[in-house]
Amino acid sequence: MNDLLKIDNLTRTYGKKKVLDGLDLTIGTGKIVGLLAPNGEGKTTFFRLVMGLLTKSDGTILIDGQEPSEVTNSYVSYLPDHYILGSFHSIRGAMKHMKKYFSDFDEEKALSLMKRLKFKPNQRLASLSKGQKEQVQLILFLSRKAKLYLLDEPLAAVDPATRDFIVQTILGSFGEENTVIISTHVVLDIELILDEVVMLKNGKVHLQGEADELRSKYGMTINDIFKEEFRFVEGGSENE
Amino acid sequence: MPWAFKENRPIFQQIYDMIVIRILNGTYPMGGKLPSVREMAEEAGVNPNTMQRAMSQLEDTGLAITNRTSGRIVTTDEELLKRIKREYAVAAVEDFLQEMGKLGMSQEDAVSLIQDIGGEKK
Repeated sequence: MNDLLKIDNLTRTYGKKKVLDGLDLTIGTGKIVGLLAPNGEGKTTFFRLVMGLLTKSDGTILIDGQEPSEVTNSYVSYLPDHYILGSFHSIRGAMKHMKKYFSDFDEEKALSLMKRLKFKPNQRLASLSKGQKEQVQLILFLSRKAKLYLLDEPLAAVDPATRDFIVQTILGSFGEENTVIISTHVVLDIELILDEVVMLKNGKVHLQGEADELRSKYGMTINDIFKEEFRFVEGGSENE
Repeated sequence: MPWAFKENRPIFQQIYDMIVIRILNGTYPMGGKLPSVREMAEEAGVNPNTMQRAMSQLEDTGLAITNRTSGRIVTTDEELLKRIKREYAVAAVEDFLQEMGKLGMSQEDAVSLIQDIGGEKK
Protein backbone atom coordinates (compact mmCIF):
# COMPACT_ATOMS: atom_id res chain seq x y z
CA MET A 1 0.00 0.00 0.00
CA ASN A 2 1.16 3.48 -0.81
CA ASP A 3 1.99 5.68 2.15
CA LEU A 4 0.15 8.95 1.98
CA LEU A 5 2.95 10.84 3.61
CA LYS A 6 6.53 9.65 3.69
CA ILE A 7 9.14 11.86 5.29
CA ASP A 8 12.81 10.94 5.50
CA ASN A 9 15.53 12.79 7.35
CA LEU A 10 13.68 16.09 7.06
CA THR A 11 15.79 18.95 8.33
CA ARG A 12 15.13 22.67 8.44
CA THR A 13 17.41 25.19 10.03
CA TYR A 14 16.76 28.81 10.92
CA GLY A 15 20.19 30.33 11.24
CA LYS A 16 22.01 27.97 13.56
CA LYS A 17 18.89 26.51 15.10
CA LYS A 18 17.69 23.19 13.72
CA VAL A 19 13.93 23.29 14.10
CA LEU A 20 13.58 19.95 12.38
CA ASP A 21 16.57 17.69 12.68
CA GLY A 22 16.41 14.49 10.64
CA LEU A 23 12.72 13.82 11.13
CA ASP A 24 11.41 10.48 9.81
CA LEU A 25 7.70 9.88 9.62
CA THR A 26 5.33 7.67 7.64
CA ILE A 27 1.58 8.11 7.73
CA GLY A 28 -1.01 5.98 5.97
CA THR A 29 -4.50 6.68 4.65
CA GLY A 30 -7.69 6.61 6.70
CA LYS A 31 -6.33 7.99 9.94
CA ILE A 32 -6.74 10.92 12.25
CA VAL A 33 -3.29 11.75 13.52
CA GLY A 34 -2.40 14.08 16.37
CA LEU A 35 0.86 15.96 15.86
CA LEU A 36 1.60 16.84 19.44
CA ALA A 37 4.31 19.10 20.75
CA PRO A 38 4.64 22.19 22.88
CA ASN A 39 4.89 25.49 21.04
CA GLY A 40 8.15 26.09 19.26
CA GLU A 41 8.86 22.43 18.45
CA GLY A 42 8.39 22.81 14.69
CA LYS A 43 4.79 21.77 14.07
CA THR A 44 4.04 24.75 11.85
CA THR A 45 7.42 24.47 10.11
CA PHE A 46 6.60 20.86 9.35
CA PHE A 47 3.25 21.73 7.75
CA ARG A 48 4.74 24.59 5.76
CA LEU A 49 7.42 22.27 4.39
CA VAL A 50 4.80 19.73 3.35
CA MET A 51 2.95 22.51 1.53
CA GLY A 52 6.12 23.72 -0.20
CA LEU A 53 5.79 27.10 1.50
CA LEU A 54 9.24 26.69 3.02
CA THR A 55 12.29 25.05 1.54
CA LYS A 56 13.84 22.19 3.40
CA SER A 57 17.49 22.15 4.37
CA ASP A 58 17.74 18.41 3.85
CA GLY A 59 15.72 15.23 3.47
CA THR A 60 12.75 14.12 1.40
CA ILE A 61 9.00 14.71 1.57
CA LEU A 62 6.69 12.53 -0.48
CA ILE A 63 2.93 13.07 -0.51
CA ASP A 64 1.22 10.17 -2.23
CA GLY A 65 4.57 9.51 -3.88
CA GLN A 66 5.17 13.08 -5.08
CA GLU A 67 7.26 15.94 -3.81
CA PRO A 68 5.39 19.03 -2.62
CA SER A 69 4.15 20.97 -5.64
CA GLU A 70 1.02 22.59 -7.02
CA VAL A 71 -0.15 19.10 -7.86
CA THR A 72 0.09 17.84 -4.28
CA ASN A 73 -1.35 21.11 -2.98
CA SER A 74 -4.45 20.42 -5.06
CA TYR A 75 -5.29 17.50 -2.78
CA VAL A 76 -3.85 18.71 0.51
CA SER A 77 -6.01 21.09 2.51
CA TYR A 78 -3.89 23.20 4.83
CA LEU A 79 -5.47 25.24 7.58
CA PRO A 80 -2.83 27.65 8.87
CA ASP A 81 -2.70 28.63 12.52
CA HIS A 82 -3.35 32.28 11.68
CA TYR A 83 -6.12 34.13 9.90
CA ILE A 84 -5.63 34.43 6.14
CA LEU A 85 -9.00 35.66 4.88
CA GLY A 86 -8.19 39.30 5.57
CA SER A 87 -8.44 40.38 1.96
CA PHE A 88 -12.02 39.19 1.54
CA HIS A 89 -15.03 41.34 2.25
CA SER A 90 -17.64 38.71 3.08
CA ILE A 91 -18.03 35.00 3.74
CA ARG A 92 -19.43 34.70 0.23
CA GLY A 93 -16.33 36.36 -1.22
CA ALA A 94 -14.04 33.96 0.61
CA MET A 95 -16.14 31.03 -0.64
CA LYS A 96 -15.89 32.27 -4.23
CA HIS A 97 -12.14 32.32 -3.88
CA MET A 98 -12.06 28.76 -2.50
CA LYS A 99 -14.22 27.57 -5.38
CA LYS A 100 -11.97 29.24 -7.92
CA TYR A 101 -8.69 27.88 -6.56
CA PHE A 102 -9.67 24.47 -5.30
CA SER A 103 -11.58 22.15 -7.61
CA ASP A 104 -12.33 19.89 -4.64
CA PHE A 105 -14.17 22.64 -2.74
CA ASP A 106 -17.68 21.51 -1.79
CA GLU A 107 -19.76 24.67 -1.63
CA GLU A 108 -22.88 22.93 -0.35
CA LYS A 109 -21.02 21.41 2.54
CA ALA A 110 -19.51 24.79 3.42
CA LEU A 111 -22.94 26.44 3.31
CA SER A 112 -24.54 23.82 5.50
CA LEU A 113 -21.74 24.00 8.07
CA MET A 114 -21.93 27.83 8.04
CA LYS A 115 -25.64 27.57 8.66
CA ARG A 116 -25.16 25.24 11.61
CA LEU A 117 -22.88 27.79 13.23
CA LYS A 118 -25.35 30.55 12.29
CA PHE A 119 -23.11 32.33 9.81
CA LYS A 120 -24.71 34.01 6.81
CA PRO A 121 -22.96 34.20 3.42
CA ASN A 122 -23.35 37.96 3.18
CA GLN A 123 -21.84 38.56 6.62
CA ARG A 124 -18.84 40.88 6.60
CA LEU A 125 -15.72 39.11 7.79
CA ALA A 126 -14.52 42.27 9.50
CA SER A 127 -17.60 42.20 11.73
CA LEU A 128 -16.70 38.80 13.20
CA SER A 129 -14.77 38.12 16.37
CA LYS A 130 -11.36 36.48 16.27
CA GLY A 131 -12.81 33.10 17.22
CA GLN A 132 -15.59 33.38 14.63
CA LYS A 133 -13.12 34.24 11.89
CA GLU A 134 -11.15 31.12 12.71
CA GLN A 135 -14.32 29.04 12.59
CA VAL A 136 -15.16 30.39 9.13
CA GLN A 137 -11.67 29.59 7.96
CA LEU A 138 -11.84 26.09 9.40
CA ILE A 139 -15.17 25.42 7.70
CA LEU A 140 -13.76 26.56 4.37
CA PHE A 141 -10.75 24.26 4.54
CA LEU A 142 -12.71 21.28 5.87
CA SER A 143 -15.13 21.72 2.99
CA ARG A 144 -12.50 20.64 0.51
CA LYS A 145 -12.58 16.95 -0.42
CA ALA A 146 -8.88 16.51 0.15
CA LYS A 147 -6.75 13.39 0.52
CA LEU A 148 -4.82 15.00 3.32
CA TYR A 149 -5.91 17.69 5.78
CA LEU A 150 -3.28 19.55 7.74
CA LEU A 151 -4.94 21.44 10.57
CA ASP A 152 -2.58 23.66 12.50
CA GLU A 153 -3.98 24.31 15.99
CA PRO A 154 -7.60 24.36 14.80
CA LEU A 155 -9.06 24.59 18.29
CA ALA A 156 -6.88 27.32 19.70
CA ALA A 157 -9.47 30.09 19.72
CA VAL A 158 -12.79 28.35 20.22
CA ASP A 159 -15.13 27.99 23.18
CA PRO A 160 -16.02 24.49 24.45
CA ALA A 161 -19.38 24.31 22.64
CA THR A 162 -17.83 25.23 19.32
CA ARG A 163 -15.00 22.87 20.04
CA ASP A 164 -17.47 19.97 20.08
CA PHE A 165 -18.96 21.14 16.79
CA ILE A 166 -15.53 21.34 15.20
CA VAL A 167 -14.52 17.91 16.46
CA GLN A 168 -17.77 16.53 14.99
CA THR A 169 -17.04 18.32 11.72
CA ILE A 170 -13.56 16.86 11.57
CA LEU A 171 -15.01 13.40 12.20
CA GLY A 172 -17.65 14.00 9.53
CA SER A 173 -15.09 15.12 6.94
CA PHE A 174 -12.91 12.14 7.53
CA GLY A 175 -13.20 8.77 5.84
CA GLU A 176 -11.30 5.73 4.66
CA GLU A 177 -9.85 7.58 1.72
CA ASN A 178 -8.26 10.50 3.51
CA THR A 179 -6.10 11.40 6.47
CA VAL A 180 -6.33 14.29 8.91
CA ILE A 181 -3.27 15.55 10.76
CA ILE A 182 -4.12 17.88 13.63
CA SER A 183 -1.38 19.75 15.41
CA THR A 184 -1.97 20.91 18.93
CA HIS A 185 -0.38 21.52 22.28
CA VAL A 186 -3.77 21.06 23.99
CA VAL A 187 -4.10 17.31 23.75
CA LEU A 188 -7.26 16.95 25.80
CA ASP A 189 -9.30 18.68 23.08
CA ILE A 190 -8.74 15.94 20.53
CA GLU A 191 -7.71 12.95 22.61
CA LEU A 192 -10.78 10.85 21.74
CA ILE A 193 -10.69 11.20 18.00
CA LEU A 194 -7.08 10.24 17.40
CA ASP A 195 -6.05 6.99 15.71
CA GLU A 196 -2.42 7.77 15.90
CA VAL A 197 -0.18 10.01 17.93
CA VAL A 198 3.07 11.63 16.84
CA MET A 199 5.03 13.63 19.38
CA LEU A 200 7.79 15.94 18.19
CA LYS A 201 10.77 16.77 20.35
CA ASN A 202 14.12 18.31 19.48
CA GLY A 203 13.26 18.29 15.79
CA LYS A 204 12.58 14.57 15.64
CA VAL A 205 9.70 12.19 16.12
CA HIS A 206 9.98 11.47 19.81
CA LEU A 207 7.15 8.99 20.03
CA GLN A 208 4.71 7.56 17.51
CA GLY A 209 2.02 4.98 17.96
CA GLU A 210 -1.60 4.00 17.87
CA ALA A 211 -3.50 5.95 20.49
CA ASP A 212 -5.13 2.91 22.13
CA GLU A 213 -1.87 0.97 22.16
CA LEU A 214 -0.11 3.85 23.89
CA ARG A 215 -2.91 3.99 26.48
CA SER A 216 -2.42 0.27 27.16
CA LYS A 217 1.34 0.47 27.22
CA TYR A 218 1.57 3.46 29.56
CA GLY A 219 -1.69 2.93 31.45
CA MET A 220 -2.29 6.65 30.96
CA THR A 221 -4.29 8.96 28.78
CA ILE A 222 -2.54 10.47 25.79
CA ASN A 223 -2.83 13.80 27.57
CA ASP A 224 -0.98 12.40 30.59
CA ILE A 225 1.69 10.76 28.44
CA PHE A 226 2.17 14.11 26.72
CA LYS A 227 2.52 15.93 30.02
CA GLU A 228 4.99 13.34 31.23
CA GLU A 229 7.13 13.44 28.08
CA PHE A 230 7.28 17.22 27.97
CA ARG A 231 7.41 17.90 31.67
CA PHE A 232 10.62 19.89 31.50
CA VAL A 233 9.78 21.69 28.32
CA GLU A 234 6.29 22.90 29.06
CA GLY A 235 6.36 26.56 29.90
CA GLY A 236 10.14 26.32 29.70
CA SER A 237 12.60 28.41 27.80
CA GLU A 238 12.97 28.58 24.03
CA ASN A 239 16.75 28.53 24.05
CA GLU A 240 17.59 24.99 24.96
CA MET B 1 -26.77 7.10 29.10
CA PRO B 2 -23.97 9.35 27.89
CA TRP B 3 -20.66 8.10 26.59
CA ALA B 4 -18.14 8.95 29.28
CA PHE B 5 -14.55 7.89 28.90
CA LYS B 6 -11.91 7.46 31.55
CA GLU B 7 -9.39 7.44 28.75
CA ASN B 8 -6.52 5.68 30.48
CA ARG B 9 -7.82 2.35 29.20
CA PRO B 10 -7.95 1.84 25.44
CA ILE B 11 -10.97 3.71 24.15
CA PHE B 12 -12.13 0.77 22.04
CA GLN B 13 -12.35 -1.40 25.17
CA GLN B 14 -14.30 1.25 27.01
CA ILE B 15 -16.68 1.54 24.06
CA TYR B 16 -16.96 -2.24 23.93
CA ASP B 17 -17.96 -2.35 27.61
CA MET B 18 -20.50 0.42 27.17
CA ILE B 19 -22.14 -1.31 24.22
CA VAL B 20 -22.18 -4.63 26.09
CA ILE B 21 -23.99 -2.94 28.97
CA ARG B 22 -26.48 -1.42 26.55
CA ILE B 23 -27.09 -4.87 25.12
CA LEU B 24 -27.46 -6.45 28.56
CA ASN B 25 -29.92 -3.83 29.75
CA GLY B 26 -31.97 -3.98 26.57
CA THR B 27 -31.12 -0.55 25.15
CA TYR B 28 -30.01 -2.52 22.13
CA PRO B 29 -32.50 -5.43 22.27
CA MET B 30 -31.81 -9.05 21.29
CA GLY B 31 -32.03 -9.52 17.57
CA GLY B 32 -32.29 -5.76 17.04
CA LYS B 33 -30.20 -3.80 14.59
CA LEU B 34 -27.22 -1.86 15.90
CA PRO B 35 -26.66 1.66 14.56
CA SER B 36 -23.92 2.00 11.93
CA VAL B 37 -20.30 2.48 12.94
CA ARG B 38 -20.35 6.02 11.63
CA GLU B 39 -23.53 6.93 13.53
CA MET B 40 -22.23 5.50 16.76
CA ALA B 41 -18.82 7.12 16.33
CA GLU B 42 -20.40 10.51 15.83
CA GLU B 43 -22.72 10.05 18.79
CA ALA B 44 -19.82 9.06 21.04
CA GLY B 45 -17.46 11.66 19.57
CA VAL B 46 -14.80 9.09 18.78
CA ASN B 47 -12.91 8.06 15.70
CA PRO B 48 -14.86 5.63 13.43
CA ASN B 49 -11.84 3.32 13.32
CA THR B 50 -12.00 3.03 17.10
CA MET B 51 -15.71 2.28 16.97
CA GLN B 52 -15.06 -0.30 14.26
CA ARG B 53 -12.59 -2.02 16.54
CA ALA B 54 -15.12 -2.21 19.35
CA MET B 55 -17.67 -3.64 16.91
CA SER B 56 -15.19 -6.25 15.69
CA GLN B 57 -14.67 -7.31 19.28
CA LEU B 58 -18.44 -7.60 19.75
CA GLU B 59 -18.46 -9.92 16.76
CA ASP B 60 -15.56 -11.93 18.16
CA THR B 61 -17.42 -12.55 21.39
CA GLY B 62 -20.55 -13.35 19.40
CA LEU B 63 -22.63 -10.52 20.87
CA ALA B 64 -23.09 -8.95 17.46
CA ILE B 65 -23.56 -10.71 14.18
CA THR B 66 -23.01 -9.12 10.82
CA ASN B 67 -25.64 -10.06 8.38
CA ARG B 68 -25.11 -9.20 4.75
CA THR B 69 -28.66 -8.04 4.24
CA SER B 70 -29.66 -6.44 7.51
CA GLY B 71 -26.39 -5.02 8.82
CA ARG B 72 -25.14 -5.67 12.30
CA ILE B 73 -27.60 -7.20 14.74
CA VAL B 74 -27.52 -8.13 18.42
CA THR B 75 -27.27 -11.84 19.13
CA THR B 76 -30.36 -13.86 20.11
CA ASP B 77 -28.26 -16.36 22.04
CA GLU B 78 -29.75 -16.12 25.54
CA GLU B 79 -27.16 -18.43 27.07
CA LEU B 80 -24.36 -16.18 25.84
CA LEU B 81 -26.08 -13.08 27.20
CA LYS B 82 -26.62 -14.77 30.55
CA ARG B 83 -22.98 -15.77 30.75
CA ILE B 84 -21.72 -12.32 29.87
CA LYS B 85 -24.14 -10.66 32.25
CA ARG B 86 -22.74 -12.84 35.00
CA GLU B 87 -19.16 -11.93 34.08
CA TYR B 88 -19.95 -8.22 34.29
CA ALA B 89 -21.89 -8.68 37.52
CA VAL B 90 -19.05 -10.65 39.09
CA ALA B 91 -16.59 -7.93 38.13
CA ALA B 92 -18.84 -5.26 39.63
CA VAL B 93 -19.26 -7.22 42.87
CA GLU B 94 -15.51 -7.77 43.12
CA ASP B 95 -14.93 -4.04 42.72
CA PHE B 96 -17.55 -3.37 45.36
CA LEU B 97 -16.08 -5.84 47.85
CA GLN B 98 -12.66 -4.36 47.30
CA GLU B 99 -14.00 -0.89 48.13
CA MET B 100 -15.70 -2.27 51.24
CA GLY B 101 -12.43 -3.95 52.19
CA LYS B 102 -10.71 -0.56 52.01
CA LEU B 103 -13.27 0.73 54.50
CA GLY B 104 -12.44 -2.19 56.77
CA MET B 105 -15.71 -4.01 56.19
CA SER B 106 -15.83 -7.78 55.97
CA GLN B 107 -17.75 -9.59 53.27
CA GLU B 108 -20.48 -10.42 55.80
CA ASP B 109 -20.77 -6.76 56.82
CA ALA B 110 -21.05 -5.83 53.19
CA VAL B 111 -23.75 -8.42 52.52
CA SER B 112 -25.83 -7.33 55.48
CA LEU B 113 -25.43 -3.72 54.42
CA ILE B 114 -26.80 -4.59 50.98
CA GLN B 115 -29.77 -6.32 52.61
CA ASP B 116 -30.42 -3.33 54.89
CA ILE B 117 -30.33 -0.85 52.05
CA GLY B 118 -32.30 -3.12 49.75
CA GLY B 119 -34.96 -3.42 52.47
CA GLU B 120 -35.15 0.35 52.91
CA LYS B 121 -35.59 0.86 49.18
CA LYS B 122 -38.57 -1.50 49.07
